[in-house]
Amino acid sequence: MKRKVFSCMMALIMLFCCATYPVCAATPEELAPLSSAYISSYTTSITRSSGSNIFYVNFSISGTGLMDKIGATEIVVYRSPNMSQWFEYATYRSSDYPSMMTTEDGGYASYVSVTGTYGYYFKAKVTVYAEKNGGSDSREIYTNSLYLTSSG
Amino acid sequence: MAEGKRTQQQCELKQMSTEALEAIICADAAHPGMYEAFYIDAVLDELVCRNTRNGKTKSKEELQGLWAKIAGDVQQKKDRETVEKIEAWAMSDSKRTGSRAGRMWLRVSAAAAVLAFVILFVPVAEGTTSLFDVLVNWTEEVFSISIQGNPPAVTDPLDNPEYEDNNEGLTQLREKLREYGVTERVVPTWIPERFSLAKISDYVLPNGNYIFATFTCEETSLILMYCVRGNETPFIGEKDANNTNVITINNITHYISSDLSEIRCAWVNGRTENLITGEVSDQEMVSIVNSIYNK
Repeated sequence: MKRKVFSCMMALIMLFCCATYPVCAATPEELAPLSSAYISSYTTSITRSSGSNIFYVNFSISGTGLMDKIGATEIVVYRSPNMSQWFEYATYRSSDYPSMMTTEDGGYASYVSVTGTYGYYFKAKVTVYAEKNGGSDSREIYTNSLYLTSSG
Repeated sequence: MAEGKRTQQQCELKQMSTEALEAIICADAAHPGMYEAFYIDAVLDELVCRNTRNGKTKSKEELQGLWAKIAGDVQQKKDRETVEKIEAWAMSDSKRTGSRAGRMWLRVSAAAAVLAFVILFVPVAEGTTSLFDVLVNWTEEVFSISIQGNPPAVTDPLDNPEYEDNNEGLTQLREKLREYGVTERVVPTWIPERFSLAKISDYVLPNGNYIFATFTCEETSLILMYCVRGNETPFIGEKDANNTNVITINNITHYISSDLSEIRCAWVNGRTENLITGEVSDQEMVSIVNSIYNK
């Protein structure tokens, strides 16, 4: 009797696995492509102010229409002595820096200025964000790296 | 080349990521002559230097061989992808256009239109005509375009603005771009009549000036974005798995891709990167692009 119950249970489990298999074996197209209903395009970069230890983290974002909110929610600046180990250097949030975000626009571009230290590499991670009708999307993008020399 | 410029290039290479340097090697191997030999040599030197710093001991020759292999693989993959893209585009085209006769007529019409356009509009390009001054890449998910040198430009003299815009917003946008010294022909004279201007915004950043014009029609929109740039940062656009269509007008290559319900056209004219995104049909987007160069 126990064997029959066990066999039935195993058969049911196998049937369940077979039934759910197609869901697990999604095609690449079904694996959520990067396309966004809110973000159309973006760019980030890090540029230096000549002759000083100040550099700029720039970003731009284009939405998919007139967005309720569009811009960057966070910019994290990293510093490295050798390009292999990166340490968090500064963080900028739109709640503290309102110029990182705008409202009622199809696109936005802005930047933050950072005071760096000579002899180090710097790069930044920018989280771009767009919001409309209660829905939103964001992307984390890394900038190129910049070496801060006192001669440059 | 002057020694000073070489030193400057070496400094630039030191600031670039390893992935970016590898991309240059791959791109050069895939398109021989894309970069000058000494530049590739400097890139390899920088990679060897980084390799040594990381405790690895690959020689320059080994790296050259490795990159050549990577580039070969990239080229093979690219060839395969190109064939697949063309096949998929043809299939999607047939789905859209209905009957065989209709498709044939459409193709003949399109070919005639392109031919007429090329004959009628004599190129007014200024500056260099190197086709490799714009670096373009796309995958199934993203599209990137960046200025690498001095791309060809189609310009208009500032005192010759003879345009007949079908939308007042386009005239305002052109005036805004002229405030930033943009003389390249980048603003269309036609967009679908249903759109009206919602907003024009402009931003001055340390790496360039950005101008956005947002046109709307109920819940749909059409956004024209212009970036007058001072550096070589790639501009990244999202896209879906559909194909990227390429149209060349007056030596300027325009890349049309789709992202869900939107169609996007990206191109570079001189020092201006341009992007038009909107919920329009393929044919409407081609008409918008064509209207940029119409007199």
